[in-house]
This record gives sequence, C-alpha cells and structure tokens, in this order.
Amino acid sequence: MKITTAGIFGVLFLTMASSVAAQRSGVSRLAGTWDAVVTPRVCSTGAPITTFKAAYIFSPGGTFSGVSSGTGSGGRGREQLGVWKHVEGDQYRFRIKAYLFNSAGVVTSYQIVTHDAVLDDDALIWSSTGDSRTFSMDGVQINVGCSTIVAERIEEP
Amino acid sequence: MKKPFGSLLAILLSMGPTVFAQSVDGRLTGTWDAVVTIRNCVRGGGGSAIRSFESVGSFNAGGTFSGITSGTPPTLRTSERGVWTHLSGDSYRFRFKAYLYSADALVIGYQVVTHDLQLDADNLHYTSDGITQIFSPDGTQIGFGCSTSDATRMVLD
Repeated sequence: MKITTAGIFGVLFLTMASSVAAQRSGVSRLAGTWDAVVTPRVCSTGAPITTFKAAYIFSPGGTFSGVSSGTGSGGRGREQLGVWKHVEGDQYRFRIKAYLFNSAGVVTSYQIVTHDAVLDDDALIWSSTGDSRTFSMDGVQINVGCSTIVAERIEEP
Repeated sequence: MKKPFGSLLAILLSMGPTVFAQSVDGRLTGTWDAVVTIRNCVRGGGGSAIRSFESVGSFNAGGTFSGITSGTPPTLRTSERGVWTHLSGDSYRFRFKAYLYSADALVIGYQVVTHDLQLDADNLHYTSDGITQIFSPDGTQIGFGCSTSDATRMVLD
C-alpha cells in the first residue's frame, strides 16, 4: 500500500476535525458564565426551602468557579471552586466545594455540592438536580440536603 | 523494505488522541484539595510547621489560577487569583495574589504567594513549597514567610 504525505495530512485533518466536532457537539458546550437561581429543597418531598442567586463559570478544561448570594453573612460559603465534566449528549455533572465560616470568621465546615445538569439544545439554559453534603473540618459528614438549579448563559455584551 | 510514511503515520495515529486530549503542561489542569502548612523559613527548605489549614485551588486551562482557603476569615482576605506555568517534566510554578483587610474592612495590603510544584506520575497528587510576601497597599514589602502544600485532585464519579 502506498501512503503519501497527502494521505497522512488527510488523516490528521480528519482526526482534528472529529475532535473539534466532538467538542461542539458536547464537551465544550457548557463552557461559559452562567446566571443561576439555586433552590434548596426538602429531599423527601422536593418542596422548596428558599431560593438565591449565584454566578458560575465552567471553564474549558473542566474547572469551575462560582460566587453565591445565598449563604449568609460573614462571607461564609460565598465562593466555590470545583470540577465539571461532560457525561453524554446534553448531560453534564459538576462538583463544587465551599468553606463555611461562622459569624466570628472561624471555619466550621465545608460543603460539597454535586449536581447532574441537562443543557438545552441552544446551549443557553441548563437545569440541574443534586445534593449538598456538609462535612466537619475533620471530614465527618454532618448534613445532607437537596437542591435544584436553573441557569441562563451570560452572553457577550 | 522501509516504509517511512507508513511508520510516521502509525506514530501520528498512536499519538493523536493523547496529543489532542491533553498536552504535557495540561496535566496540572483541574481543581485540587490542598493542605497548606505555614513554616519557619529555613535555607534549603524543611522549616518547622507553624500551622496547617485546608485550601482549594483551581489550575485553569490557559494558565490562570483561582483559590479559596479555610485558613483566614473571608472578611479579612479575598480569595486568590493568579497564574501557573509548566517548567519541565513534572515541575510547575504558580503565583497568586490576595488582598488583606482589617477587621473594620479597610484594605491593609496584599499577599503574593509563589510556589514550585511537583506533580506525581498519575496526576492525582502534588506537593509544593515556596514563599509568601506581604506588601502594603503602596507596594512596600512588609512581611515574608514560607509554606508547603500537599494536594489531591478533586475528581468526579
């Protein structure tokens, strides 16, 4: 079989093209900055407890950062960092961590929130469900809660 | 009989998914749970521990860094923003900055932390050591310290 330089570049082009297409079709569609409304809920009934707003960045490469308006005074839990990944199709999963402080500014615990998200077809809205687990600083789980999130993409000005 | 193009094609095809999925310097990309230890500064490292606390750091694709910490009340210190770079092999360097406030919310300076980092072979653990410099708001250095960190990658199921 004769393999030409053109053939090699053809294969390379197809490999790169399929990688780009795969990103457009799924992996990178969630990347961006989002305005979110978070609703903590009673796990057993789904009844809403409260709602608050947050802003999230899903960065290419799978890192996450967020700021939240909903976690009380003293700056406790306002900032979150985490990871995200594409599961399949329009489905994504993310996990975020925040430290919780008391009103005196002493760290008391940390929170791990894990959600499964579904992105709409035009990649402008997603919604998610999941849980929030709170741990003491020595790693003992002390609480679990449930929540939903609905988010809209912040588009370029 | 030699088949140079065939050999080249085989090499390129075997490298393709790895090359396109993750460059060497991208191995650090992700979010990490770290235990930071403030240490007495000793030439050559190995200074005795003063105190330890937990932090989370995100090494974002493209070379930016974000961090949060349990070690200081969020009313007294902002979260961290910085940069990171691949030096060679498993060695990386990062630098971040945080602003410092008094109890009555006046900015009193800023902190610059610079660490050299060694990533392990499976990309799941790193250690780092370096310095922290404290500056007054006008840029005069007013403090200096040393620290190490020991980190584990945050993963999603």
